Amino acid sequence: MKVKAEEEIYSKIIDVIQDIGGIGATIEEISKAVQLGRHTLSKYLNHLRADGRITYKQIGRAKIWSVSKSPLQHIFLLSEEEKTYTEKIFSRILSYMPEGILILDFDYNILFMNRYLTALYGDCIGQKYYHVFFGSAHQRQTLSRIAEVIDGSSEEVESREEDKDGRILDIKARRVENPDGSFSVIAIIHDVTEKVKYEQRIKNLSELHRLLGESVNRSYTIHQLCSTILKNLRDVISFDFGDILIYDPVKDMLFSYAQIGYPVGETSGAEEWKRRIAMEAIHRKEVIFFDFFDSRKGMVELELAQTAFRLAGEYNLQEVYAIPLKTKGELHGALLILTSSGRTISEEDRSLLEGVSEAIAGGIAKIKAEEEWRLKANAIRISTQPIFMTNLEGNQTYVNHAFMEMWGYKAEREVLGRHCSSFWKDEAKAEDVLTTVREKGTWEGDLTALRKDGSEFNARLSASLIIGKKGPFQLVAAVTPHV
Amino acid sequence: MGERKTIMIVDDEPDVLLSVGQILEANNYRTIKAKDGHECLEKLKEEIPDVLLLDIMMPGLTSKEILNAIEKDSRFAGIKIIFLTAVHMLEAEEEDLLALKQVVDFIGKPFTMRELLDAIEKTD
Repeated sequence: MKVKAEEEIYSKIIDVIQDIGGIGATIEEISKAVQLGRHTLSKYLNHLRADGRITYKQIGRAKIWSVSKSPLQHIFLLSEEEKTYTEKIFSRILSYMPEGILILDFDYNILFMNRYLTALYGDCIGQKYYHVFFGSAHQRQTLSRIAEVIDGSSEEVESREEDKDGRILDIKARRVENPDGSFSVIAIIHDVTEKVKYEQRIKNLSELHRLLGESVNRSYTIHQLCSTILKNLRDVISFDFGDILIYDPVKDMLFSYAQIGYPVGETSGAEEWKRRIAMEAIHRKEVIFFDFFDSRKGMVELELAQTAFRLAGEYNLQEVYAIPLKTKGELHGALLILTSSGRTISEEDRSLLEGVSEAIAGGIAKIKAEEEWRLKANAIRISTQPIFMTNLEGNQTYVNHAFMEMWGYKAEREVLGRHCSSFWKDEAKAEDVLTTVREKGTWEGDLTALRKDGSEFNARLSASLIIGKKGPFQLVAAVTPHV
Repeated sequence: MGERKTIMIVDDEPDVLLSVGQILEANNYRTIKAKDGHECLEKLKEEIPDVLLLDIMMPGLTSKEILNAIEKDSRFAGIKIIFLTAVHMLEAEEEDLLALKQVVDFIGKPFTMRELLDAIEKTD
């Protein structure tokens, strides 16, 4: 009963303070309205203040009481001496929380922000939320989902938003009812910029590797591969101009294999300047970087710097990166990335580029090796000397054009898969040759060949076993017909 | 007819070790087999071959460590070394594996036995 009676007194005091309204009520005014003595009233007022339901302003020696619109705000406006023990503990917890705490009224005014947010935005109490966070003069629905809480369409929202400085914020906001029946918005804010950037970097890196793998699988020539790589790189990392130059270690020269972004019909010395910068990166085996608007960055020798500045003048550049493309021990070329004035490549994207450079070099090496093999295969194909290969069992796996001609066959299917001994007059002797090659590694001698039409010719056969990474796997033989 | 040459084959791939060993013996060479660098150095203490066929990428000791051990010991000064490897020659150069005078040849896998036999013959 006693509790109920006290609660009625508390409600009455709050009603009186609200009724008086305006600038607040003095203890005398409240005392008169609730008909309580100053001493008793003072006790009730202090209880209500400790609950955060009312607050006061000290004006001279008088305390002007008002209903606390925002209990949290009330706590932070008090000086340390004025705070109760609980208020002190609570305010410290809120201030030092490792996440941002933001309290707004329903007009988007910032009532409270803790140290986490003050460190990011400065002291912005009393300013508009959308101005402080988004630099906007007016609230727009698209700015922040907190608007949904304020307009009542959501009780609670969770969103990821980008502020005016490019920070990525995770915001969780909900409405809170104040003791006077009004509402505030309390938001927990976490700056996740670094985390998002890291995630984006990993995503970009895996996307680049995926695209690179695809490019290598689909490309037939180095030209094709380099063009696809440049295009994919520009889709993931934003830059203006790019080149891939392939290195010839014998001539110590670079050859341009792909370009992107350059205006058509350039006739200046730009190609030569680019080559010189790329060559320097190759010889140094390290990335060369120029920022033409920050002389402290990318400081290099004067001659190279002059070349770079000429290039910058030609294309109005801000940055130039020359990244050597090398696998473990081999230099394959250089990747040149250029940005126009006003545009820079972020640290993350720069390390991303350096990260994929080895994979690009690996792709180039693979296509190069394939080209080389195709060349060698072509040399064997067009050789006038008959050449054939078999598996370890002696079944034909490859024959060149000269073999087909010499034996009188038109289609490879007539030859491939057949046992090699069937192409020789003395099949038993051919079997012995096969056994000897398997046992001794090589065989050289004369045999009589048997053509498709049954005619014969004498030839010298030179055969060898081929050993791969996992051991013997093929035999290769060259035939020299006796004239 | 001169004395049979002794060839030590060092390769972590058992099929390469076995097949190359058998073929060299069929070609009148004596062979010693080692599956890694540790075994190679252990066996070198027992017998010094004329030629060492050395794979580059093996578990355990690196090729550089094997070469260093051979270079340091004057008893091994007469050994001729042929690399027999899937590693690219430029990578071997980068690793400074070809600098030692005893390294006389570099054969990339896959290779023909003809190439290997010719390379061994040339070590005379």
